[in-house]
Amino acid sequence: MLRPRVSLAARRRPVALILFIWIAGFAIAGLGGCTPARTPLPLDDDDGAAAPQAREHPDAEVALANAPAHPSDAPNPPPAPPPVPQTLSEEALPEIDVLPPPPPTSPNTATWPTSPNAPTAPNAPAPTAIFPIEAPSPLASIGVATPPNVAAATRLAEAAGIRLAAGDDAAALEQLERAIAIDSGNPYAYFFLATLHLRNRTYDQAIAFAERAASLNRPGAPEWTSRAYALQGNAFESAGRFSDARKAYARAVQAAPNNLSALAGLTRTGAPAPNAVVSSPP
Amino acid sequence: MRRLLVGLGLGAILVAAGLAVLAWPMMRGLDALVVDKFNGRRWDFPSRIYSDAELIYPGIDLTAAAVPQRLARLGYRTVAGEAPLSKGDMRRSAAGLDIFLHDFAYPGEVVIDRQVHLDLQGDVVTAMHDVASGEELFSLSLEPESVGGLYDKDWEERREVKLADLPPLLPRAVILTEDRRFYDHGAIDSVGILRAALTNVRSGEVVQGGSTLTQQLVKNFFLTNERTFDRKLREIAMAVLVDRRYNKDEILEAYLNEIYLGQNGPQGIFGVWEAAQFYFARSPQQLTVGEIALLAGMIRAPNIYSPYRNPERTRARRDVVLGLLRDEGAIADDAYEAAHAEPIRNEPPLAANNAAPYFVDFLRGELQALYPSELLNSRGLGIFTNLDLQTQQQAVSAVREGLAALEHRYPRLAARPDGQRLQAALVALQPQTGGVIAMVGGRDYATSQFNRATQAHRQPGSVFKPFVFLAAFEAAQHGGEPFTPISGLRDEPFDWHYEGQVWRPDNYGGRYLGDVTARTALEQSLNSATARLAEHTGLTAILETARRAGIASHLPEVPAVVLGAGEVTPFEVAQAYATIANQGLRAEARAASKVVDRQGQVIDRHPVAVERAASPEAAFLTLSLMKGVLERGTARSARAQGFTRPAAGKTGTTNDARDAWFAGFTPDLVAVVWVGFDDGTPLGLTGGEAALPIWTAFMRQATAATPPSDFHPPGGVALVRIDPYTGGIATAGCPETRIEAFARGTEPTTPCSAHASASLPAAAP
Repeated sequence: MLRPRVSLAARRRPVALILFIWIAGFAIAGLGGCTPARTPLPLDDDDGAAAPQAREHPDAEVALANAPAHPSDAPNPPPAPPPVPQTLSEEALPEIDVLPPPPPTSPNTATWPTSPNAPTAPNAPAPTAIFPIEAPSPLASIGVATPPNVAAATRLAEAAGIRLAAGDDAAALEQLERAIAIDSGNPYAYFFLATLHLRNRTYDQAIAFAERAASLNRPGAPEWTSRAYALQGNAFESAGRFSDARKAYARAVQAAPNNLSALAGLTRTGAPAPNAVVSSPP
Repeated sequence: MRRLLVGLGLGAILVAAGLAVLAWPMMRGLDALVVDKFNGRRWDFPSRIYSDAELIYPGIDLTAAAVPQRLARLGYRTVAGEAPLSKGDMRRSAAGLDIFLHDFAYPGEVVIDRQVHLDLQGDVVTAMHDVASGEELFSLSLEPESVGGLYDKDWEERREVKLADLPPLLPRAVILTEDRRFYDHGAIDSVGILRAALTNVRSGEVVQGGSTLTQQLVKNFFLTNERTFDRKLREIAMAVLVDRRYNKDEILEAYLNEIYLGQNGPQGIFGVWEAAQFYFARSPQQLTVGEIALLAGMIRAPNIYSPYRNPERTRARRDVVLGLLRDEGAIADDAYEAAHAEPIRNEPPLAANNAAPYFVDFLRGELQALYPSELLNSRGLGIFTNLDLQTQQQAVSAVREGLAALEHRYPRLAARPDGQRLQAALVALQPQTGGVIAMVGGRDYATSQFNRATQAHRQPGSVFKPFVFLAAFEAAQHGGEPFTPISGLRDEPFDWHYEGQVWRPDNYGGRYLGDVTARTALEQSLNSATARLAEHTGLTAILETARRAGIASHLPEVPAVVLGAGEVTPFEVAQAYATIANQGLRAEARAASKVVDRQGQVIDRHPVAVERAASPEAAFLTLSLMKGVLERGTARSARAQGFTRPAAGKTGTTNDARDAWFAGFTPDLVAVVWVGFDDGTPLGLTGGEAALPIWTAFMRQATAATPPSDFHPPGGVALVRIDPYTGGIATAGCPETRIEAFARGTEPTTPCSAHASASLPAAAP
């Protein structure tokens, strides 16, 4: 911007005063512990740079043991999820994050690992009860007969999953919207969209996208169907719709009986645990 | 004598003092103006609207996806030979296609100095890689195309650039051609004025101006082009004020951003950055010496020296500037020779800045509800949409050619004594994202800006019927009486009693089929059978279903509404059909996907937002009936016209054939076409005759780039091969079989009773 040559000196005093007030304001705000409000969706790329949240639960047994039954559904979903309580209760269920672990190094053969000992992000919120079932990489679904748009969309979805895991929600959203634009039936893209919305607490969106993902998964990939239903269960649960959550978890277990996340969800929401191996994560 | 001289001297001093006293307030006023303009926002920057970014990936057919046309519209130039490519160049060879991408920043993606190579087999991309890194690429975005601008009065396209970011030769060339003593004079160049005066006297006319860059800037900023003494005085005064307050580089930078450099249709090209884009599809930093000389030479008369008007005159002018640069030592002899040999590229840009005027109006309306007009018109926002310019052009062509064909075939439609012309509207949406892909609001925006796609409320006729079936399937899903595609309906005249009145629906042509299945009722668009189903399902449920799907207009709760007696816009129909196509998940239609500020920061994002409007099973069963409309029903002629991929839809014709509709979709694209007269004059044609050919022509082109895909049944739907006449599970003895969709639990369990034999597998297709 152009500045008049004559006015610089005259401006110095007010500028210094403004700077002083500004710095003082920051200091006062810092003492008062002000924190910015969380927005439903990232508005720009900067938002995506926020620290990623916890993605793995280190201890299944503790979470399962602490989970009480839920005899009835809350009539009205809470407007915002409550903080993680010391003891779980009907009114205050923990928010549950579902994020895939970091991507495999060999894209066409590896699976998405689910190590229970994976480190959590520093300063992450209290761990939550999630053990995503091991599932083949989306890239494994690409074969020679895969239509090119489907292959491209699957690759975009897979890349978006990586961005999500890195906390870059804005970039992930761009890729996921492009993926579904070129392949309206891509289950992985819908799954990661649901994941993103669950993380951003837009539960209605997470529920709808998870359902779409589950309905599109092919019979040959029950793990992804199960993951999608478990994620939907998480979203229902976080929204206080426990009856719906139970049904979703049950579907997840039906698709893949060893989905510990879904089993834990079933237990938390008051359904009897089916006969499945729940003792420890793999 | 002495007294007289003293008197005269005193008088002169007094007059001068008086003038100074009188002029002082004026100078103060002018000074305030100068400071205000220079220190505030100097220009209004119109918001620019962008299309969606085209995605290229292995397996895509470049021709089918119209990639060459897209690249041409983006200003990419085809070059031959082996020379290294420059930004914006592309080269096709036996080895494939090389593209040196323009630098661009798209939210979530920044491309700088990127050259890519595409391996091709014919026109099909087999692999892609980044030339510099060798990295294999699985998808590649082209930069979005400019669709248009939002501005107040004049469309001044301009991007502000810092002097430090320009190649030094560019300002030097401008100074040499326009004001070579710029750094030496104090706003007014008396030497230059004398030289211009002498030149003008010699030639007998005004051929040279003596205005400095500062004067030109002041004139453009504050004054008009009128040639009056008063204006000239003000110009001089303000130039002096500007020169006193600001340094030369600041003035030069403002000048280079302000200067007018030509016209692109309604869009004025201002500043060197915008001119470099318009004439060379490059940023100023990438300009060659010849291009710099050409731009500098154009300033004097941009439209006369435009390379798009008269390349030879442009070349001559450029060479004059090149000579000046060489003579002043700004360029060496070899650079001069190279620049002198540069061809004048005179292919006008294909940028379709007015390709979607109805869409731009619609977008403006949507945005004005969110932002003040001043912000939209002057802050240089970037508005990203899902519009696809290629699909938009296909839509425009389909409408134009479709209407011309109708008028040719039915001359009565063309020869209206009152001059009214047959009109049409077309809306195309992506059902899974809600993105508007194309919008045509009439046959000619220049003669009628009324957007029939979003503003014309017309009766939908039978286009409304799918919502009757959707509501019936939905009711069955929620514990109502079982209702399947093979459920029986009675197609015969009947009376519907409501609120003390009687309504009797008639079939088209007075033809009744008796007992029919639900499938036949919709495929053949049987009014009576549909009305019976509607009476059974309930008006309230049907209207609520339509509303949830996306019909926003108020519909009267009267029986005739089930046959399309309400009034809706094509856009609403597209939204509601998109919900069915997306298996009950309503993706809110969106005109803009995101808005960025002039620095490229996202200030507003409209992500895909979905809402469950109907169960996936009910939606799938409805669309399975609608698929039959194209296979066997009232739209089967679409197949004869060459549109063969899986699709579903419905024709619509209103009373007296005033409105002709076709609305239909593939899994990835919904399109709605309306044809009619604005004043409701009957067409005398059905939707299948008037709207379907336009829809078919459009869909055939718009879907050509992607492989056909079918609708994926949700988990709650079973596909069973049945005998269509008995409804039983097909046996080996059935002469005709069909795969039918059922909500799980309602599928037939017994074999065909008429052709009992070994059962066929009850598998899905």
